[in-house]
Amino acid sequence: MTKQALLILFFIGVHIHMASAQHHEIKGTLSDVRSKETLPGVTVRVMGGKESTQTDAMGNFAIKTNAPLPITLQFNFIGYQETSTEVRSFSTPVLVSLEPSEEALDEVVVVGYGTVRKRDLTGAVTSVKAKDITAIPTTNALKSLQGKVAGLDVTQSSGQPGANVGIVLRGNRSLNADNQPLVLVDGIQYGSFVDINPSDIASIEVLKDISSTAIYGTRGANGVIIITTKKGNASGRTNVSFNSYLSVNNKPFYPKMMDGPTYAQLKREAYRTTNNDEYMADEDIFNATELEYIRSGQFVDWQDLLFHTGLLQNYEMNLNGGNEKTQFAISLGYQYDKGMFKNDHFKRYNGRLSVDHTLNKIFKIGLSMQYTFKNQDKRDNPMNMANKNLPIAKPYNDDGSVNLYPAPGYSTFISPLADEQPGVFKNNINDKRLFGSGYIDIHLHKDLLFKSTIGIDVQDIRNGYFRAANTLANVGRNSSSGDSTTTMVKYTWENTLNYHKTIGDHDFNALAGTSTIKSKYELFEGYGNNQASDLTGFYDIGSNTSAKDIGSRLEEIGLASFFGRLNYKLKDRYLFQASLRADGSSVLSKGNKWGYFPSLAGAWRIIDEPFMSKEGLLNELKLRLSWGKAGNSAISPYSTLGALSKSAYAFGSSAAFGYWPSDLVNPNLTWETTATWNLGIDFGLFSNRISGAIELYDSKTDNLLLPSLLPTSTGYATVMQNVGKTANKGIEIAINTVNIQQENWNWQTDWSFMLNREKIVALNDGVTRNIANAWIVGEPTKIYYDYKKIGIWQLGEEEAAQAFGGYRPGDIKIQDSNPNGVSDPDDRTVFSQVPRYSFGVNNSVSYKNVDLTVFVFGRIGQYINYEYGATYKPSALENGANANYWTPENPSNEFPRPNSGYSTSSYLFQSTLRYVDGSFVKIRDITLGYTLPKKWLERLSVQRIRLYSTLQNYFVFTKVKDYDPERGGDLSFPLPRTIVFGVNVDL
Amino acid sequence: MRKNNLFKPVISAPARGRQGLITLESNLIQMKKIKKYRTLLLMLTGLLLSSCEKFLEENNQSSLTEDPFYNTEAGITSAVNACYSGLRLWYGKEHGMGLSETGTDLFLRGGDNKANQISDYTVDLNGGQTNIKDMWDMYYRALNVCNTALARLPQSPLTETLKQQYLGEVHFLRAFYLFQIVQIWGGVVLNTSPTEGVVTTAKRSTEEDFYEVINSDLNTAIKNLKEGKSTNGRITQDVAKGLLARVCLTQGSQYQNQAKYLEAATLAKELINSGRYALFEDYKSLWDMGNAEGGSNSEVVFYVNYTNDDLLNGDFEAVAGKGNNSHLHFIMVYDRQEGLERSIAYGRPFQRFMPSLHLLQLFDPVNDQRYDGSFQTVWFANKAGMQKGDSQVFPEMAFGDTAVLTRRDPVTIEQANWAKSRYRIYDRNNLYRADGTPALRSQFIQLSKFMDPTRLTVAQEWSARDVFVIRLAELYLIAAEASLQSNPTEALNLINTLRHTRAKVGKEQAMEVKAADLDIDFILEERARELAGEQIRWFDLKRTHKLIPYVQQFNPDAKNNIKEYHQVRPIPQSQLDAILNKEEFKQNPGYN
Repeated sequence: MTKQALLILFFIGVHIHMASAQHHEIKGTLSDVRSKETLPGVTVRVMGGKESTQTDAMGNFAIKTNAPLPITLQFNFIGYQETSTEVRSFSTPVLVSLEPSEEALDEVVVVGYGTVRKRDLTGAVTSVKAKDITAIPTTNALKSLQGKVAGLDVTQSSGQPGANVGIVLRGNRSLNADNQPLVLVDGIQYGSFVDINPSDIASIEVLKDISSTAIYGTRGANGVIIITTKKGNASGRTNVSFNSYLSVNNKPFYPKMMDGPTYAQLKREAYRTTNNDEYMADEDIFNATELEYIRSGQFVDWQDLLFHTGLLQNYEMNLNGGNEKTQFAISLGYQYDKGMFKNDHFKRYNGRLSVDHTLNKIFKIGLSMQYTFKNQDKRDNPMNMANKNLPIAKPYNDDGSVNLYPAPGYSTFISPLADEQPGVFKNNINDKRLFGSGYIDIHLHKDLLFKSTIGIDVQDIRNGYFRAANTLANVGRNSSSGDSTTTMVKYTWENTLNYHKTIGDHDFNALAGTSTIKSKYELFEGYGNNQASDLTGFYDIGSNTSAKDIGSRLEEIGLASFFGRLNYKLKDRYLFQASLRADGSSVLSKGNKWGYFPSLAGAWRIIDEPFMSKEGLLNELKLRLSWGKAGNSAISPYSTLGALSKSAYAFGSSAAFGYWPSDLVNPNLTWETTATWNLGIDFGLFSNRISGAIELYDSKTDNLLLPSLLPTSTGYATVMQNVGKTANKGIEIAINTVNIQQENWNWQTDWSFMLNREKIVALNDGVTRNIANAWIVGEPTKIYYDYKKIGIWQLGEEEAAQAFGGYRPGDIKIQDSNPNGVSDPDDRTVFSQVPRYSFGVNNSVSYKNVDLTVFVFGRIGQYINYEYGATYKPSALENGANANYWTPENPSNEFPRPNSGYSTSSYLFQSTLRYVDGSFVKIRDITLGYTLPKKWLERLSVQRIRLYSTLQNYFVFTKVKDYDPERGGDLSFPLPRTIVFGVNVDL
Repeated sequence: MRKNNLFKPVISAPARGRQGLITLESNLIQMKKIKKYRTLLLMLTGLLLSSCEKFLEENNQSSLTEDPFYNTEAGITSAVNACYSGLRLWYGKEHGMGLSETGTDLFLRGGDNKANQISDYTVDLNGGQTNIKDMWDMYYRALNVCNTALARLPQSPLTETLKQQYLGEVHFLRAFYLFQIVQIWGGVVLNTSPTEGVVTTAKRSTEEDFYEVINSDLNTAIKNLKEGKSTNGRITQDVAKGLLARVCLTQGSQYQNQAKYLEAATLAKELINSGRYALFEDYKSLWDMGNAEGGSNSEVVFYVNYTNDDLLNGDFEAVAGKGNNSHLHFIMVYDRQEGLERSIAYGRPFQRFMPSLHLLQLFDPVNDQRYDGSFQTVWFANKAGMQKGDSQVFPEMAFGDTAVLTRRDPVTIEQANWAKSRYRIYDRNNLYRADGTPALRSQFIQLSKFMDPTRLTVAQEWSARDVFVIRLAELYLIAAEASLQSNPTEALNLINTLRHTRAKVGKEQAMEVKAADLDIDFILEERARELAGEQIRWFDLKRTHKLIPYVQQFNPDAKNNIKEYHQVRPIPQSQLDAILNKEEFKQNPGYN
């Protein structure tokens, strides 16, 4: 005890002594050479001495030294060139501007279970930094990757508040399973709906080739997206930032349906066709009230009554600080999205806390926790009814209430406004999620680090609904109500041991680890029809009198893994990597549970060879080659056990439920595996004014877990088998060009281009097509397989039309794909849903305090299933697309002749009206920002205030009229056109 | 003690008592500790490996599996129950209705029929048709469920009596599904054992093979089951005899097999004479919701049970909202007419099927109860509070007055003049063109047999009405047809007994048919009058080789489209796509 006390005293003594010797202090400020913004966190070191410090949040530093003048100070900061300056006086503050490092090769990139300098990467990894994530406001941080990561196809699938995005990396591989990449937040699986405030994110890395993802084994086949959240800082100063925006959601691009007179004319034409070409009297086809409405012009445009201006508010507040031992970050967020439809709201509250503490040279611990509470009132899509409900209608009663059946005599056509009546509709989702992880780092030795991480993810979702009798869902049937509670609990425990050693020209890095993931999903639900009263919403479902039922379910999945990786670097320019992961999954049957996923990669930094000169045209050149295998256990739990399904019957009035074999058992299911070759070149030209990477890849997936088609004469439609094969190959190009680089002017462009060709190579034995799922060997995984409309049979073509299959002028003319002169099922052809290529061009321009970004995004060559075409109703039984239809006087080639003999959904080749080329180029957003001048802010002790405004989805260039094809053809919840006003404040 | 660790960064180990050495030997200690950790890690890894096996084990607590559930009494009973569910796929459902009633001489497509391939034999009637595919898939599923139950029953832990009963019921059901398959598609796949493992070939059997299994199954059912009327929807010996009578008649007429005719007549007469069944005096009340319970309806031999509890009305999927839908399909669009609004009593006008002019003309409304008993021809104004003068079109119309009248024959000028200010008339000339093509498809004389005014809401799609598959009246018709050649006198007696009962009061004499007029065409006409809409017509025409001539003669929509090959339906393309022996097992001839 005493010895230690003495020791302490001794050290304190030494410390005091040393301090007294450092009587000179150098002060200064560091800033960015272009933006003039000050730079916090820059390491300042006295050359030839041991003294070092970091700049504070204002970019200021003070360093004490006892060295004599002149002193050389060296500045190091990630992303900037190493700079040094000579200090000749202690009294004059040192003002130094740092030049951003063009090659940014020392940038640290996050990879699986670790980090690596960009120059040492062997795989295909794209890193997106905080600046790009927050530059444009998004509700889901992953949306900010759209068009910025070559190879990543991000699409917004719905404009409803709270809707998710669709993400596919390098094409679709799996036919049965999800093709979404694995999304990790600080190493723990999160899912693609990222509720984390964009301003809490330090970086997002997209791991594209399998040598990078193989370390994630079975979860890595579709690529991995690693989100790294911001940690506290060690500067001793607490930084506060506040980010907020308001987004005004205006009426989207939306195609018009027929108006009253147009619809009336359609109906006349429809009856004319079936009346030997003679128009019938209006009295015979319209009822008396309709005639009165037509006379008095009582028409309605349902779209006008439904679309309102939505408003999204978003507030984010971040605090981070700490000292060398303890760092913390706290953030709070609130979002309220009032959708374009009434009563369609989404609210999100989240809070985040992250603490890292260094106990001593051996131990470091940390914890980060996020809690998200989402409260959503989710409305049923009213557009389907709005689009088919008749325009000859009276939307409101004289007292202002909703006229439930507004079209005279059409009693199935409830008003699309029905759900807006007070108290009739509730569909509320409460989603609570606690997501967090804790770690302990143990530096066992200076070269050896042991890390143990535990992650928990607990989510509770309560979905209660009540739909009264007169709602879109029930249309006069009994009311329905129900409630379900889903609980998901997932834990992850991972342990890694990392060894690093450099001996001369040889640099080794070895990693070994274990991982255990267990997830448990529980569901409880109750529902019924005909509730006692509308007053009780979904809190009295027990009072339902019919079809009352309950259900519960449990699903558990376990995944156990061992993995290892070895990196070897020779002379800093020859890089090698090998990894292996063994995964055991509970969903596969005994004997097939374990899968082994290896990878190999090499890279050659040609530019660093002595024979290369960095001074010339070329200043970066690196070649990468990798191969790896990853897996997917793409089946739901218990799939290998077989199951019985419940059937119903009754004897008299007593229940006779049955259990019958619905799944053919296949106990031999094993891993679906994808092997990928990736060749990459990184290059820089003209002092890195042009830099980028080109990736070529070729991936083959086999043992596809596929519900393979069985002849249904067996009693089963499919059996799960490891049978199919798919292949993907493609090119990705990402280029950054610095177009203008001047003192006040700066203009940079990021170009990304991707081209992927996916195809099904094999289905189950001997089967070349599976029509039910639209899988055809040799075609992409996502297609439409149908007839192709090439026009309308015209007058004068009667004989040909009759010979081709008994058609008449005015009918849809299809392509005779197998040219045999008659229409038959083999005339169906393929419409690919996947784009031929897509690209993004992101321009960032800054002039003094003004910044402008223009982001252009294009997806070319994909067919969409455009609902609008199929809403055209030649029967005139419903309203529909304002179509240029055929009549004897109007020889249109677009839509077939009206015909009152048709039913709403059954006329020849109706579906051919749906397939349209959905290629588009859109200026997804334009952002104009202004940073207030420093001198204005100094007095407020505010570091930075930036005001900006963004236009989103305003400019879409496409062949599809009045529609934003990014949606993919759906008319339900269109993408709003938004104007955003935002502010970024750093205190 | 604690402070020490700030300077000597090693893990605190108070129990060791070796503090003094730390300073100088820290490196050494660290090495030792590393060894300790290594052991610890190895132990951890070992622990992980051994617990892996257990960790990765699956235990499905949310659903049942064949083993062990089918080895229990509850389990095997549930398998037998599931065999019944297949009955609901056809009966009381739109596609089953369309496949059996349209595309014949009796029913045409209504204004919102979704399957003109079926009704009109259009060019796209081929293996790609989903409604036919769905039927194929469902019947083969039902067949496999029966085969599974039959394979499991012998070893099941049931009492011998119950086992025999269950075996009888399931043999009956398998025969029923096979009978449907062979009638619809001809000699296709005949499975008599459950599918095990991955099967990717298909083999054709002849129609004779099918009928052999069907006959043997039904005879097993007759042997195993107790006689008596089915009162709760379970199969009894009577039901099995009734179906066997129909099967034998089919074989008799389709293949001109006299022995089968004889067997059919014997079985039908046995049930007619059993005393357990009686014809309704009032044909209309046969269709009353009060008599919709097959178990208590005296005419009903075989019925598919539906209930008032919607949760029990599913089929292979036990979900609500299924039930009997036949009340929807024959209803015309009345609710756009003056004075009328949609009501529970008048139903939901799905306008899928409308009668052909031929069907209407088969009736003798003056003498035969069955015209009024089968069709609705008048609607009364039901708009609440409707007063005279409210309607500009029919100023005389008030609540409760006639609003719409449909007439099979042309109305007179006087009738038309009378109605002018009072109600809408649709007569022969409004409804049909000269050649019988419907002039309107949304307004027609509607079949009213299946209407259900007891539904809870006007929009409710399911009905609790049982579907009467075999009625006593059909047994008279079977017996008569089967005896037509061997014993024409008896045939005449049987037909006239039925016709007497169906006569309006006092018109029995007028209804009597003479021996000279009794032939197969008359029997088919009589079957149309008795059984219109009851999901059997297409099969009747097919087995009597009348499908093509009747459709050409009486179905103006389909007459130019129907071809010889349409007497069997196309095999679903998905079946053909999925098999390896594509050269052996081919599409039914004629379909492309």
